[in-house]
Amino acid sequence: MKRLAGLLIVAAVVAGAAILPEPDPPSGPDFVGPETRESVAGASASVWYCPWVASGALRDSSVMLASRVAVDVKLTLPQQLAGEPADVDEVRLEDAGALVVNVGEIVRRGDTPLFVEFTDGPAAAAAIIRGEQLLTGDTCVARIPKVWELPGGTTREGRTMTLRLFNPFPELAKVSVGGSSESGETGLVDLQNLDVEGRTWQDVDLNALVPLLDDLALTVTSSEGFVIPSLVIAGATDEASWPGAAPATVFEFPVASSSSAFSPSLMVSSSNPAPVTVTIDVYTTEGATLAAREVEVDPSIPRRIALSDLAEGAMGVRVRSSAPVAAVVIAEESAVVLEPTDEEGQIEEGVELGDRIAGTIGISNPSSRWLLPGLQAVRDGEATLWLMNTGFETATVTLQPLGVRDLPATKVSVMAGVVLGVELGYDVSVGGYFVESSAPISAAWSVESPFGIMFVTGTVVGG
Amino acid sequence: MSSSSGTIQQVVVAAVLALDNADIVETIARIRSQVYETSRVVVIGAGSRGRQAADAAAVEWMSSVPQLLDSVDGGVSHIWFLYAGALPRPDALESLVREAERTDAAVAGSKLVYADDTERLIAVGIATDVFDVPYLGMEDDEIDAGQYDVVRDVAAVAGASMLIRRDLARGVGGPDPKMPPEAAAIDICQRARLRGGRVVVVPSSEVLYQADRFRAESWRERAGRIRAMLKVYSVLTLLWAIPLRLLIGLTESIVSPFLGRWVLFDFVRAWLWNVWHLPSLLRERFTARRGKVFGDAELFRYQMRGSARLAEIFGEIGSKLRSRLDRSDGPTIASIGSDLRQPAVIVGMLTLIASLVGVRALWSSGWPAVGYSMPLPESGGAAVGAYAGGWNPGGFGSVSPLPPLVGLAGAVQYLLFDSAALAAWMLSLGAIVAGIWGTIRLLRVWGIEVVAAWAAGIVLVAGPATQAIGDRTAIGQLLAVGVLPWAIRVASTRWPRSWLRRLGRIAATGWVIGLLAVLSPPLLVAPVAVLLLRCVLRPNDAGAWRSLGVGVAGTALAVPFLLPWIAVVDIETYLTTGSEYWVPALIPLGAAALAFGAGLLTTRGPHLDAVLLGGTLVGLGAVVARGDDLGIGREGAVSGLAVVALGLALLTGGVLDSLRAGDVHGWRRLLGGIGALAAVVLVATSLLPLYQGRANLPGDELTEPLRFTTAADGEASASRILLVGPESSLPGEYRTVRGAAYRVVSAPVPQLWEVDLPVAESVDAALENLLLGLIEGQESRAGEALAAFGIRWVVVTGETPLEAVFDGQLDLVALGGAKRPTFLVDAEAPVRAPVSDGQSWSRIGTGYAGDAAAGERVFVAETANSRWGPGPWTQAGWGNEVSAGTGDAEFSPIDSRRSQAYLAAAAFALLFLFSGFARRQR
Repeated sequence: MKRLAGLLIVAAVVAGAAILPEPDPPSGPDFVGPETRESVAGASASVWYCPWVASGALRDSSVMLASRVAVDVKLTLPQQLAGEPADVDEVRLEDAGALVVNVGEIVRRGDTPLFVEFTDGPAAAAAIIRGEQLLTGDTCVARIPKVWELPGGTTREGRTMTLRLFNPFPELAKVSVGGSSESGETGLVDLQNLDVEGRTWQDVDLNALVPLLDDLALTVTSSEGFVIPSLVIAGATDEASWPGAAPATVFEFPVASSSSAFSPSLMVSSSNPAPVTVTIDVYTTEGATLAAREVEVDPSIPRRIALSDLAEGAMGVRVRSSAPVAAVVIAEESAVVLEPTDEEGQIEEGVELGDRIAGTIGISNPSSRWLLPGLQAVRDGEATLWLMNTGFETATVTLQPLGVRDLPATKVSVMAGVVLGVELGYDVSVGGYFVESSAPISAAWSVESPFGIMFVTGTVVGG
Repeated sequence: MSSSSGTIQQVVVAAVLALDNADIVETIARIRSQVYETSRVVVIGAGSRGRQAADAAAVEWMSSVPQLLDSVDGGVSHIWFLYAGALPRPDALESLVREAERTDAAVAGSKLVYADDTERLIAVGIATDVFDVPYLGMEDDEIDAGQYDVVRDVAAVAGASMLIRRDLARGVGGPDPKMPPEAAAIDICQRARLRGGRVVVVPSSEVLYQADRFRAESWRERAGRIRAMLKVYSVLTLLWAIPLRLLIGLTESIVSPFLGRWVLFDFVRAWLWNVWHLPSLLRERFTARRGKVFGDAELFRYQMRGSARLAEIFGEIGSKLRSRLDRSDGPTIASIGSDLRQPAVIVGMLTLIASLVGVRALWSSGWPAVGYSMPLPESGGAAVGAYAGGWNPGGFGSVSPLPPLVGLAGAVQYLLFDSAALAAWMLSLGAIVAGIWGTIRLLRVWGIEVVAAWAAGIVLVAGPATQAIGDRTAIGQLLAVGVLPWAIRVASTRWPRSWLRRLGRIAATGWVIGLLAVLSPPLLVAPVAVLLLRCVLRPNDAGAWRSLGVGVAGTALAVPFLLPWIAVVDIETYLTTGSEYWVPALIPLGAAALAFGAGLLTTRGPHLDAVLLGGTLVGLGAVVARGDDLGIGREGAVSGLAVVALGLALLTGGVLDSLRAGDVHGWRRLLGGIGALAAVVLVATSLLPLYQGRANLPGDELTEPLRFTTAADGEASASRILLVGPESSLPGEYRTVRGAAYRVVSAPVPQLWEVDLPVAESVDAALENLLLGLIEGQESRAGEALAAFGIRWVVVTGETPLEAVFDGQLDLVALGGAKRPTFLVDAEAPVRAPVSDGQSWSRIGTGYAGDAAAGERVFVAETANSRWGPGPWTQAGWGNEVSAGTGDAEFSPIDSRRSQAYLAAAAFALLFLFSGFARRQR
């Protein structure tokens, strides 16, 4: 009896233990890594990296800051020698405002890539370089991917191509640079496993490595650490620079050419394994020409598409592709105008001297809010704000100048399918613009002077 | 005065030390009959009895040796110390004086022979080991055939008759009044030798003495020897001598019961006595070493190598074994069988060996840093203080109560010279020894013999359930397993006849269950539950019901031991926090099932009771250990495993011991054999993990990966480490951000008091927000943000998406060469206590200290609490800001909790001492 009772009791509790279910394992992380930082002015602190900045005897640089809120700004200018302390400057933007910081007033030691930290947002930065016959610049970037695409390069006669690898972070970056040209993959054996010390930069002269290539697209991959690359194409006097681009299936370029004096071209490169079909829509002040051209871009062979035969004068373009590609537009002063134009065979003086060049990256997502730091703040040049409406409804756009004090806003309408250029002369009280639209648009600005031209993409305001 | 031969006559004063009730008068009569006359005879001590004896013998009386030393003038050359009861032969003094003069000895001692058999030797000089334990170097009752009759240098002479030069006696201050006789004699000889004096034994000087008064092994003698050792040796020698002395004492305490002695209490009392008399010890040590001529090496010259105590014990064990085996009628099958059934000595040795093997890896480094196992804090006192109403340093700190284990381990560490590794080793060793030994004692009470009980003990301390506890790194439960059988056994033993001893039994049950509960609070109810089940099995056994009553009373008495923890903790939260689920391995599970089935069908009587009780405990424990679905949290589940361990032990003992039954035949016999084989499998699977030497705990996973922090500039302990990785790779409890686990620990390696995390406060929310910002890509200067929390390093302990969020930060540097991916904060002051003038303070215990800075403020990166001081205190965000003027920042303890901790300690001491006192009463 005792045995039976014991057996029953033990069997009961053991059975009870056996049927108890195992708890569910922890659900685990719901993310796989940090969310990608985009070059978007969000409502939080942000850092903007500006690789192509120089202040020396022949060049001057300005950092253009714009913010929608009161914010403290810290500019850090690392040294090229690792371990040397960086130069640091701190400013404050009161309320919604913009400010132009002359880098030469902080330090004047030639090349000085820098990064800008805003304690709050939305805020954004752009950087320009000016010289006696030079004007270049573009927006600074906030995103720091491991792989950068830099299309639009060339080492052809008359052009020099420089790749700047800026490592603003404290740790060493190991970088490999891959190239593709009209001949296909370009062996850049000297650019494999490059060490870029923390808080320094390196400039790579591509002409010396791969000379006389008409088209050269680069891919910069960091196996350790991160770098912020910038590509610089220089002519006889002027130069154009642009940061790396993220591959996408849609790019909008509100400004591909600011006038008929320039020959614009679109540079597209693809890392896809199969050919990609690229469709180009052209937008002018008169209207749009959708699918104005369709081309195929082969893997590892960058494609240069001339745009000057698609429209005359100022134009913007939209690029649509069947798979993600990288794209930039470059506008070079037209070689055609170098021909004699009058009966005496004289060349017009202004044209004869011109070798102006500009380039910029595209915009993947139209937005209804834009920050344009530096617009109307560049001396000696005619600034133009370019607003491109690729949608189907007219956009009412409010242009709010930003400066150290409140300034009155103006409104313009941008019809569907057109690109609108708003000319803005230099104004000492203005440091940039905040643009708000009733419908998504793309915004960029350009500055044209007798000695140079530059295109600057606007920064989307997020959040 | 001069002798007839023309040499200077030595003037001797005889001092009779009346230390006990021995006959003073007879000793004085013997002194008066000396052929070498003494100038004076003085009785020292014994109060009025000594004074009356002195008056009766018409000699002087003085209360103390110093008084005597003050009274002797320069004409006296020697003082002859005799213990009352010592009976010197008429020429004893003459021989001493003559040989002392000849050899220029400072101390000369007599040969001691039995008073009732003068042909037998007691001692001819004394050798000691380095621990001042005497070693006579002769057999018991050795006949005096003149074999030792040569004057020679010895480590010490017997205090019963000792001639000391007056100047030396005055110099060293005479015998230490706090010491018992023999220890005092050794002590004074050592002090004399340090000052360059020779110590010789003079065999021609014979003194008759009562042998039982010589080498009386009282705890006072033990305490005196320890004091003698601590007084004379250099610090360097003491650094190794003290731990060894402790180790030997512990070994003796473990082994002696198998030789019929119980010395654990003496061992503990002897050390506690010395701790209590530490001030006088330090004074005496200063006096003894002041003016020394020789160093420790001179003392070592006359000492034996090794431990006299261990040599004696092992000699005794050998003797007992020989007496069992070397029988005149030769070994027979029956006698060998008898020996195998009662091999207490062998079992004891095996237990000791198994235990030492089982914890050998903990000797150098203590508990491993893995899971919920962490090394003890650097300061045991600080741990006790933190438990007793102080600051809980887990995470960013809180006033949440620390588990009682922290207080207990801290107290043990404090007593063991604040050595964290030694304390951890001793606790683990003690738990294993106690577990095996307790199982043997428990099962013996329940009618199971020692071999089977020993095997059961092995299953208890290292069986599959205990291994599961070890895998879960539950140190408290691992230690509690060793106490669990005692908690049941103390309540279960035969009920004493006297009321005093009965009360003592209840008190003993109380403190043992209290100890169990301190180690693992959920196990507080386990002994009563086991005793209740036993009552169910034996409903007609009045003893079982009485045991249950004792257990209930003991449990009630044990509750205050958990103060202040139990008064503060939310019991429901405590019992439901965390998640554990036990999945037993198939082989042990099958073996246990087979053993139970076979035991159920083949055993009877106490064996059947053990099998049924064991099986029930295994089942109930398994329900708790797998009861996550029932809301049982981690602590409860792991405690359930301890119950399973006890059940498996009972099952093993019952099945194995049933083989002895001679009335089982046929298929039952075969089935019993199969059951025993299954039990043997359980034992075998238990022995293998013991061999790993970490007391069932897994290997250290954190110390090495975090060791790099000690090589960093400044003090590692001034900063924190943020660990990110899978839950299983993080120490103790953890927090999550979007499902990814992380936790903050102290550098260079977290300690036991940090295992549990308190309820999340604003500082935890701030850190979580920072991590969220990193995940969302909104932070670029994570280093600066982490520095505000005192975090200097981020260490990735395993695969986690959090690793990538620390990439691409402007002030985080990836450290190459680290064992795990590691980021260093490259920002200003990543420390826990930055001062407004730029310096940073070190972490001391749970507080901070540094250079005082008048008018400055120090930010204490701990959860804001107004008890931080010195004032004025202000809350700075989630942290504290206090004055830096005094050079330290401390948390003011909560008085009520501290009082409760005192109460708990007092209750333990009271029950412990009372039970010991009552146990000795006949």
